Amino acid sequence: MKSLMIVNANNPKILLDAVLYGADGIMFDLADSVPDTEQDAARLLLAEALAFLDYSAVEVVVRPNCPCQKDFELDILTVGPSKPCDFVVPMATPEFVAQAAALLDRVEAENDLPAGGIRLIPSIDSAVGVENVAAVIAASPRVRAVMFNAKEFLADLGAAAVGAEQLVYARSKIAVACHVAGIDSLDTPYTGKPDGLAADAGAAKALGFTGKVASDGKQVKTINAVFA
Amino acid sequence: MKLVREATAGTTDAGDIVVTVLPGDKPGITVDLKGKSVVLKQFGEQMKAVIQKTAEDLGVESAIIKAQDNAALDYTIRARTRCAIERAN
Repeated sequence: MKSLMIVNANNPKILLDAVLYGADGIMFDLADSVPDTEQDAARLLLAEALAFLDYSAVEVVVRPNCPCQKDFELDILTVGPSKPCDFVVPMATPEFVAQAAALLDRVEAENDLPAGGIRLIPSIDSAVGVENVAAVIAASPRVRAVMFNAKEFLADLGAAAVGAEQLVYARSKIAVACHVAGIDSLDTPYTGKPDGLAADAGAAKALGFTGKVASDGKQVKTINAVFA
Repeated sequence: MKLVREATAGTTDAGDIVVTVLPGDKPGITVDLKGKSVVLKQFGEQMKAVIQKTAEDLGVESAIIKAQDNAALDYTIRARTRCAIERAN
């Protein structure tokens, strides 16, 4: 997967249009994009959309709330039966990955879905996540990729974001661990000026990343070109 | 599912629908749908049927359902109706 585009899961028009941007994968966000008071609405809308709209041309990824929050379980149990390809595991640790895998065991058993069919994409959002990335990957055979969240990682370190050079260690560690495991590695979303996207994606590719998260549809074409 | 309070779900965004449910004062489900007349003329009855069936499938026996459509597709109508009913439960 070269490009994974983030979209707000609680907007019907965005859900309908998301396939038009040419992204390999669409990440439907139930967490940061959705206010606390609309969590129930977003879960139900996404579950219905995945069952009703044709997303067969893309990899459908769902980003639930953090496993440390009560909405995590509801997100997976509500949307899981609509058979997304993957769930993200935010703030991934080996324990959180195992927790997500156990919930998917339940969803698949209760809905007559193939066991192990829904995969996981742990999100590395912290210093301990970077250091433990190989253990996070090994925590479940469902893990099919890892994604990096540089903003949260730097916040955890207490470092202000100044440039790509401060991400070299974390990016290298993640890209190498994913390569060894034979899975995809998805670089952090780019949030700077548009003309810097190609260089940022190129820096990640040079360290071994296989793709990148797109923070909006306008980034997809550039990301696909860099990782082609 | 029994409704014990008024509740609303959905937004006025394009492609969405605002669904408000109230406990009914008699058995049965009443659906009052508003929206663009050209849409309602062609799809109104089908949209009402989707709302009605969603409520029935959730075991609602008595309700007044008001909906303001802004060109929602079936999946959105189902999701917003279900959400409003769950919020009213």
